Amino acid sequence: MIATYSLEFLLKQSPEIVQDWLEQVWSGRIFPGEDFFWHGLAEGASSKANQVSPVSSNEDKINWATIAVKIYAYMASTLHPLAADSYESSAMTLRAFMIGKYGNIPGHPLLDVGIVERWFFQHLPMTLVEAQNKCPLPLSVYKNQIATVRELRAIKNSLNVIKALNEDGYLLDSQELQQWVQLRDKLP
Amino acid sequence: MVVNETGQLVVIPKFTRKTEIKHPIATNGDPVLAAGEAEISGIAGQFVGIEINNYSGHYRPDIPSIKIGRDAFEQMGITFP
Repeated sequence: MIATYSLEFLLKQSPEIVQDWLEQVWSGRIFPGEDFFWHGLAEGASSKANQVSPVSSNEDKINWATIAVKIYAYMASTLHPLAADSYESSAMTLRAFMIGKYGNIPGHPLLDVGIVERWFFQHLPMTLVEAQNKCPLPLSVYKNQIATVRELRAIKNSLNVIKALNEDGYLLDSQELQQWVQLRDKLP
Repeated sequence: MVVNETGQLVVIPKFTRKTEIKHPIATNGDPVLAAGEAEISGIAGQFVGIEINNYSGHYRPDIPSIKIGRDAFEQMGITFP
């Protein structure tokens, strides 16, 4: 069955309705159309989650953020794996924003700092010592080893999320994370 | 980054601390020739392009528009591998 809901229509609904629509799509009961703008829905849901509006309840904002994070994960794993780093950065930054606002709730699908911490370590392409030994990079590396530069930049992008959580008072217990945060400014 | 309809390159950070900045911020939502993300690093007094793509959650730029973005950066002296 083809669901003809447009992006604009979905973003005017409650998060519960959108969540229900997503579950139907992902279970194969409805088909949103090959050209459906998933990135637009993720970004729209993210905007609803972090907008300053007394009209929306905190519960609605958390639900919109949860929707956005799920769609980013879907795009990263299924639709556009080559863009996974970008989508995962968007999702984790949104998590950090929501955790800063509503607190760390271990076990919560959105607000668990541990999810961000595990994501950071799982995606590291090298150890802390290896990264420390590579930085600061000489200009020749930019010209001849762009893959290394990209790996280090990806770490720096991930560290933006870690740094934000750190500034909010989370992750202080992890000595290794503290060392990564200290290295951040030396990364390309 | 976006390249607006007059060909002007507009660069904004993807994130400010914990908030993602959407492309319409750079354009007031106006149409564009290209939009995407560009990774740029500063080293030895110069900027070096690391990566450029057409990812945008507002615009739906096609693959060929990446060249428009690359060309706009090249005019500023920034090239991508």
